[in-house]
Amino acid sequence: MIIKPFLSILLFGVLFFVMIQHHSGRLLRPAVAIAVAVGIFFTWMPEFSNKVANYLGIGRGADLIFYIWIVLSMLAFASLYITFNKQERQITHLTRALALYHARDNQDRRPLI
Amino acid sequence: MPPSDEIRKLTWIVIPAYNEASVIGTVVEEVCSTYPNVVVVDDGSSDGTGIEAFGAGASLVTHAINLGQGAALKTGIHYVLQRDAKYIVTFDADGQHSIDDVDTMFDVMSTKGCDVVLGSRFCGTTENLPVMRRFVLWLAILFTRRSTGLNLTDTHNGVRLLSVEAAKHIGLQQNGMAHASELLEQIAKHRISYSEAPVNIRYTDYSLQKGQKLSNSIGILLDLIVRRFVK
Repeated sequence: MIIKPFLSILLFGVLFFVMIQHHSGRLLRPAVAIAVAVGIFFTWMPEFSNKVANYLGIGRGADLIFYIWIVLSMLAFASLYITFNKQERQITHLTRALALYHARDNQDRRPLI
Repeated sequence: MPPSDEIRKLTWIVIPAYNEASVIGTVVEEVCSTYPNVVVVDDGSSDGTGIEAFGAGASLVTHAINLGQGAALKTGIHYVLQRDAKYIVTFDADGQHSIDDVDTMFDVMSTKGCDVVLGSRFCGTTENLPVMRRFVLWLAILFTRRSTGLNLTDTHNGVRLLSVEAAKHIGLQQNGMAHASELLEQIAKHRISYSEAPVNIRYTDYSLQKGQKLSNSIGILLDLIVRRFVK
């Protein structure tokens, strides 16, 4: 039974970490809150995961959780990719603006720093 | 017929460079001997590329960090658009191109009356092109023909001649090597008139070491596909 409190603490830890982030997306906080609530519910009442899985035609509750985990991981990757792209564009704009501001004309014979 | 001195004065050569200190001085001197306006975009080099280029007579724009050839090219074009320019030539830094080919490109531009002239190594002569490189280029040509509908013989050649009007329409978003395909997509999208001109490429051990490999081209292809969905 030690695993159940351990998993619950871990899930609450994830929830706490996301809630204190200032820059987390608008959808991320409620999504994580729902995922944590569902996770804790299935941790303490695993038989319900079997019922839901049977209802969806999956078979075992463990398989259902595994599939959900795969989908959530893919969504997390997509979200990270979009964030990374956005930041890359911002860095590019900044670097370009700085480079053009400090551009050196070939007639400018001041020594390069 | 070679371009007049007036046209040469209104032409800017944009050279993106990353860690090319050993060759950039020679390249800039060669280019400056016929085209006086040269800007080197030092893309965050750590080997003194910028100092060598500036010392050889180029104007210098320096990226604080390495962004990629596409980003460097865009910075160079931005720099030129702020100046009194009518034509822009993109040119590789590794010494594989010949500046004499740009004269031919101007000739094609005036004969065909187009806004963009793209260099083609398969219309000209190519020395020491390895089989694998030829295969990678063939894949790129196939992909670009299919995605843009442009009938080209060489899609990833670094020498291009653009009128300033055409350059204003081309907004590169790709920081890396995928910019070459993106540029062609923009030409197709904005229906910019184009033509090809033969150019001579000298593949040396140095330029082959710096060039694209098959593994990189797969990455470029993925970049192009993903960017179509994620703007």
